[in-house]
Amino acid sequence: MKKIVKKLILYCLPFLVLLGMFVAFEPYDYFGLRGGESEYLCKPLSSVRELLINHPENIVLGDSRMANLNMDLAEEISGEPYTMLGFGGAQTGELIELFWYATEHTELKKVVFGINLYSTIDEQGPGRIPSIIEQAEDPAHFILHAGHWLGAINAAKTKIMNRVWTSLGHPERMTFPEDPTDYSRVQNIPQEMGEKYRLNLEEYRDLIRSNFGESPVVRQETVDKLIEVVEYCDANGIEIVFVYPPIHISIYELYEELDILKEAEKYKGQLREIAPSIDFEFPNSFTENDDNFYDGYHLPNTVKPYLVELVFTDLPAECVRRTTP
Amino acid sequence: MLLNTFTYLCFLAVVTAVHYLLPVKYRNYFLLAASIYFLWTSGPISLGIAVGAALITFFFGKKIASAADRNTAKKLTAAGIVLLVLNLCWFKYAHLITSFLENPITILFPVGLSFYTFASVGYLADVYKGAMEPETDFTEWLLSVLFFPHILSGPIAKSRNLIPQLKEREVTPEIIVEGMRRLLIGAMFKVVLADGLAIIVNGVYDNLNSHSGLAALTALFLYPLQLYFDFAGYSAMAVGSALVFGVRLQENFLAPYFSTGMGEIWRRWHITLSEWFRDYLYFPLGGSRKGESRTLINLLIVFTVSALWHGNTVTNLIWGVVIVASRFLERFFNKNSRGLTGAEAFTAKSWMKRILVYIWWTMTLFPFRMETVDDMKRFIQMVGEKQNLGTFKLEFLNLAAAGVSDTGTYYLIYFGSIIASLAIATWIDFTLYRSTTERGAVPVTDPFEALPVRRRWILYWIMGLAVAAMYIIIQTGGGPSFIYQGY
Repeated sequence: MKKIVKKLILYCLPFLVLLGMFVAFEPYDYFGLRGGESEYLCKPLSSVRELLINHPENIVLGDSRMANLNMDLAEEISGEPYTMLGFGGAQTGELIELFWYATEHTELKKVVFGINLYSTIDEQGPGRIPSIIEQAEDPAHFILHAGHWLGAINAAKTKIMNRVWTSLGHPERMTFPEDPTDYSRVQNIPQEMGEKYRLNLEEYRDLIRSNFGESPVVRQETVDKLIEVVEYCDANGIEIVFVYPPIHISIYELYEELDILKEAEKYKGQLREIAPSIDFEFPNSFTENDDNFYDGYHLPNTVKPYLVELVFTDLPAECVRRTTP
Repeated sequence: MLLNTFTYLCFLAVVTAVHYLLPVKYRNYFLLAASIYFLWTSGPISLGIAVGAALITFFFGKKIASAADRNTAKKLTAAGIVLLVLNLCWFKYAHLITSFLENPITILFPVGLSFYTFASVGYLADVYKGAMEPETDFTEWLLSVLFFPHILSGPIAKSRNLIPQLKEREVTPEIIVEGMRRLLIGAMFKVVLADGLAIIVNGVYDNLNSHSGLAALTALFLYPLQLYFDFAGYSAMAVGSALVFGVRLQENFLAPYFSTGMGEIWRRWHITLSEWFRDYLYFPLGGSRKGESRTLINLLIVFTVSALWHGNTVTNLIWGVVIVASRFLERFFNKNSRGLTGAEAFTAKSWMKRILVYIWWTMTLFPFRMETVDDMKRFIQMVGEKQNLGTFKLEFLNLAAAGVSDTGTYYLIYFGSIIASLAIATWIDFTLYRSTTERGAVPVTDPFEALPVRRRWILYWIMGLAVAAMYIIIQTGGGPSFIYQGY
C-alpha cells in the first residue's frame, strides 16, 4: 500500500506544478503573491476581491464609464479614499447586487452610483454577480474557472516570451492581451492619428442603434430597487449620489430618435426627489466636442481627470447639472 | 453524489483509506455505512426506498428457499417479483398514468431504483431456480444492494457473483492499481469524451431552431459517441471503484463500436442489462427454442419492455420499434449475431461493415435522443436545408466555445483533449475487441498492463491532464449529468 501511495504522489506532481504555475501567473493575483496587483483593472472579480480584502468605506459603482476613472486622483481631489467597485459592462441590476453585498462586508459611508438608464437588455437580476462572489470567496471556485486558467496561460506566455526577447537584447514584443472594455489602457490620442485610434463616432452610433431592442430603457422595477438602495442609505447615514456620465451628442440624438428620453427623464425625476444627482447627459459644448470622446460613451485618458474633478468636487461647469432633493 | 465529481474522488479516497486501516472483520460494516451515506446524499427517500426493497427481497428470498413445495415457492417468487416490479413501475410511470388528471402525480425517481430492482428480481429468480442459496445475513445482503460503486447506474450485479466476493475477497496491490486505472479510464471517457462532446451535441439539440443542417448532422453522428462514452465511462468508474476494495463487478461494455452487426452491438452494449433480459425474460419465454416465429415474438417482447424501461415517451416507443425492426431485418439476412472472429474480423470488408453498422446505429438512436415527434420532424427538416461550409465552421467553433472562451488557446486545449482521449479510447477498445475475436480468449479489459512502464505513465499523465482540463471547462460552462442516471 505504501508503494501505491508513493506512486499516487508521483502521479500528482505535474498537476501540482501546473497549479503552482496558475497561482504564480493568474492575472488577478488572487493569492496575493504580487502584492495584490491585478492585471485586470476593471473586472468585477477584482472589485469584489478589493471589497473583501480592504473593506472600503467609500465606494464607486458604475459601468465602464465610471470604472475607468482614476481613484487615486479622486482621493487627491476629495481628500478621501474611494474604492472602485464598478466594472466594464456592468448592468444596473448587477451594481445593485454589488451594493447590497458591500453593505454586508463593510461599513459604508459614501456611495457614488453611476447609472445607465439606456440599457439594451433586461437587466433586473443579479446577473454575473453571484458567480463572481462565489469565485471571490472560494478559491476552489476561482481555480475551477477556465477563464482564469486561460488568463494565466496568456500571462505566462507573455512574461516568458518577453523575458526571452529582452535577454536577447530586444525590446518586449508581447503585451498583455487588452481587455476591450478597459479604456484605461487607451493612451493619449495623438491628434495626428485621428480616426485610427478614436472610433468613428458615426459608426459607433449606428452600432449602438442596432443593439437596442424593443425596450431600451431600464424598467420601473429596477428604479424601485434603486429607491430601496436610497432608503437603506438614508436609514444608515450613508451619503449616496447618482451620477449620469456624459454621452456624445450623437448618442443623445440617437436617444431622441428612439424616443426614450422622456421615459428616462421620468426615472431621473423619481431618483432626484430622494437623492442628490450629478447629471452630464444633456447637450452642451462638452458633449458636442468630438475630441472629448473615445467613442459615444467613453472619454480618453486626457479628459477623464476633468470628469473626476466634476464628480468628486462641487466645481461648477456648463456640462453638469447638480440637484439635491 | 455523481461519480465524475471531485467530491466523489475525495469520498472514495477517504473510504478506501479507512477501509484498509480497519481490521478485516469490520470492513464490510464500514462499507455499508459508507454506502448508506452515499445514497443519503442523493436524498433520504432514495435511501428509504432502497432499504425497503432490500428488506422485501431478503424476506422473500428466505421464504422461497424454505417453502414447503415448488408451487408455494413459485407463488412466493412471483409475489416478490411483482412487488419489486410494481414499485419500479409506480415511480417510473405514475406521472404518465395520471397525466390526464388536473393534478397528475409527480414523484422524484429514487436514485438507482431500476438497477437494484433488476438485481433483486434476479436474486429471487436464482433462489427459486436453486442457482444460489438465499442470503441469511441481512447486513451482507443490504451491502450487496446498496454497494455504492454500482448503486447509481449499475453494472447490474448478479447476487451469486457479488455476495461471495463481499464475504471473502483477495486484495492485492495489483488489483487496487487496476481499479485506479479503471477509474482514470472512466473519468477520461465520461469527463473528456462524453461531456466534452456534449458541449457540441447538446448545444445543437437544445437549440434546434438556431442551428444549420450541417450542425444537426454533426450532432446526429456525434451523439452515439457521447452516449457510449457517458455510460461506458460511468461503468468503468463503477468497476474501478469496486476493484479498489477487491470486488470485481461484471464488465458492461466490450467495445461495441467495433461490431460488424446490430446483434453484435447488443451483445457488447450494456451487457449486464442485456444478460438480465436474456436470463429473466427471454429464456423464461422460451428463447429461441420454440421455432422462428416464437423467437421473433420473444424478441419483440424483450425489446418492447427494454424500450419502455428506457422511457415512457412516444419517441422512446418509436426507438423500440426501430430497434426491433433492425434486429428482425438483420436476423432475416444474417443469423450470426455473434460477430466475426479471427482474421475475418480485420478484413477490408469487415471495416466497411463497421462503418455501415455505425451509421445504422446512429439512425436508430435518432428517436432515442428526441423529446417529441415534433422535434424529430424539425430535425429532419433542418438536415435537409443547404448549408455553407464556411458558415458551418464558425458555427461549429461557436458551439465548442460554449460560452467559456473563443481564443486559440481554449480551442487548442478543448480539441486537443478530445483528440488525445479519443485516440487512447480507440486503442483501449480496439485491444479489447481484438481479444474477444479469438475464441476462448479472456477479454483484455486493461491493455495498460502490457505496456512498458514509461509509456504507461505518459499515457496516465495525458489522460489526467485531459480530464483536469475538460473538468474545468465543464465547471465553467455548466455540465451534463450521467445520461443513464435517470433510469
